[in-house]
Amino acid sequence: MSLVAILVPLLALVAVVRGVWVLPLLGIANAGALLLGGQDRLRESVAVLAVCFTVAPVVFLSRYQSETHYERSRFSVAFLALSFMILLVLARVQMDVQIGVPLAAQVRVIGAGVFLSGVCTLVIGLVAVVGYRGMVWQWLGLQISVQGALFLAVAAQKNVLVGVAVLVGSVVLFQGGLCLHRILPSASALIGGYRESYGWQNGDDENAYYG
Amino acid sequence: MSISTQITIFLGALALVWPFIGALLVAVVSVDRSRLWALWVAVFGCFLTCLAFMCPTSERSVSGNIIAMWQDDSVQRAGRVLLSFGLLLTVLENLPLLNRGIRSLPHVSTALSGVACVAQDPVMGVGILVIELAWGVGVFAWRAGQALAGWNLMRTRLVGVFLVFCSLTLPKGTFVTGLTLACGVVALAGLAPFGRSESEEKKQMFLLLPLATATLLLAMRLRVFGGEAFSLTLVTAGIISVGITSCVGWRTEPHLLRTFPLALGFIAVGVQADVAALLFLSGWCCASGALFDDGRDQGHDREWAVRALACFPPNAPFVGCLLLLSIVPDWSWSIATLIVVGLLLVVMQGVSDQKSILLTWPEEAAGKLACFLLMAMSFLVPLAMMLGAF
Repeated sequence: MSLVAILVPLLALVAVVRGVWVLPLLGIANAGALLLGGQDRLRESVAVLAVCFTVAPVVFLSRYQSETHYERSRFSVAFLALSFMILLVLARVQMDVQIGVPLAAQVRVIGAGVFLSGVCTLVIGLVAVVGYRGMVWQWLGLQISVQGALFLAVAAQKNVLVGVAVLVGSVVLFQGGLCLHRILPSASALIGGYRESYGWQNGDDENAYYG
Repeated sequence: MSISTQITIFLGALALVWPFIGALLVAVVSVDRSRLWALWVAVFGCFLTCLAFMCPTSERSVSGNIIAMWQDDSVQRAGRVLLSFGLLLTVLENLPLLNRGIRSLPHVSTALSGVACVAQDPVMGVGILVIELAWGVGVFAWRAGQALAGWNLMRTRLVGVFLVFCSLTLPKGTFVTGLTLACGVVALAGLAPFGRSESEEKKQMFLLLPLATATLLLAMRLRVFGGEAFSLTLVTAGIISVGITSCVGWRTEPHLLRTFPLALGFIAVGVQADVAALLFLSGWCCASGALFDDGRDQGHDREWAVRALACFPPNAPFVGCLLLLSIVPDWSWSIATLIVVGLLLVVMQGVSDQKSILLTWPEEAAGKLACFLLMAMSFLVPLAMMLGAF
């Protein structure tokens, strides 16, 4: 198991606490972990998609004002996600002890650490989706889960799973973007509001205000 | 391949594709004529699925093995018949709609649900359900003021999709796999209180009705992945839902009663009583849409739907209860007792208002057809069972 594969769930945990700007780092780490596991056409395509799925939300959200809803429960959600990670590690150890044979067969295909890393990333995302109330934070949770799903699907080496993971990723990106577009006020409206309240004319230096 | 086999395969394929053609027709015609077209399309769809039910798309090979053209058994075929009748009732219950996307949505969702049920790999079936969800939410969220409702719907259902996805990468038949898979299936179907979105309006039923039906039918096929833990978790989730419906009181919270047949259906899938699940599914498909009150049809009496969903005789869910209770004691006496207590509490709330315990015949056409279907199913399904069709 590569060090980058361990980094993926940890970065997911950081993203749950710090917000959407950590998402591109998670995507890059995920792509790195995928490419380090082997280099074929499928892995390369999924790595590119993983980066796209994480960069696109950050670019998209920069065009809108930030959500007014403040998430008070960020650390409790992160703590819950961490607890689930520990539970998953313990459950894997239990499975190793109890059923050995089926898990060994699975591990031969996937690799236990990589497999666990993907599951942890997916579960961290789901905890964020359920725990947060703000729409942007929930979207972030779904994006993290998509990264976990992509990682798991490629590690399992099943084309159907990869196809479904890419489909879910696209749906989360486009439908989430559509719903946010209908709800969040755009950033240009904010600048327009400043223009009106400060009596700016066209051609005035707006950067002077942000100074 | 003989001519008769080719004809049955063609009919089966046409039954699957027909709702897509219907959606296109309904979207293209003008608003005035759209309801009439939608009705004829839905009626023909029902006819096709009934034909496909009677003529299975499988043939016996030279070596004697049965070769199925797609994932097809009699319960799944009967489920697709219910899907098409659910579409017909949805069209009958609603007035013509201005928005082309929304008026064709029940046809698109029914078509995608049908295709998801016959997908070779259950993972592919889940993928098709994701497409259905995306299409439905896209149509809802595009309207002004509906984005948040659409988002909540998508978010809750995608949690289920991710759980199912995760479980399908885990080793087959282990405890963790079964638990995750069952939780995912329950959340995807929207069983109260696990997967319900915060706000629901009547038009969401265009999407939710086929989606939940397809999920229950897929759950029957996913049993091989989940093993014993899958069954146990489905039964537990069903009993929790039944318990909450009976304790909270569905007169004050009607959404609980709407998913009551689904809860019993999941218990039936858990104890491998697929025919009973089919009978509960008929209650969900025929009566749950009528419980939505969008303010337009205040004058209509919805008592028939309440009684059908609460498993009163002579409706199909009542026969489903009898069938379920004949099987559950072999599984566990304590679970059977819990189900009986939950059912009795729900039924008691229905008889408390001094109205007739038996059937109350509705006035509107959709209600009459639904009541007729529910009664017909309650006789036909046990008859088909005795004749060996299931």
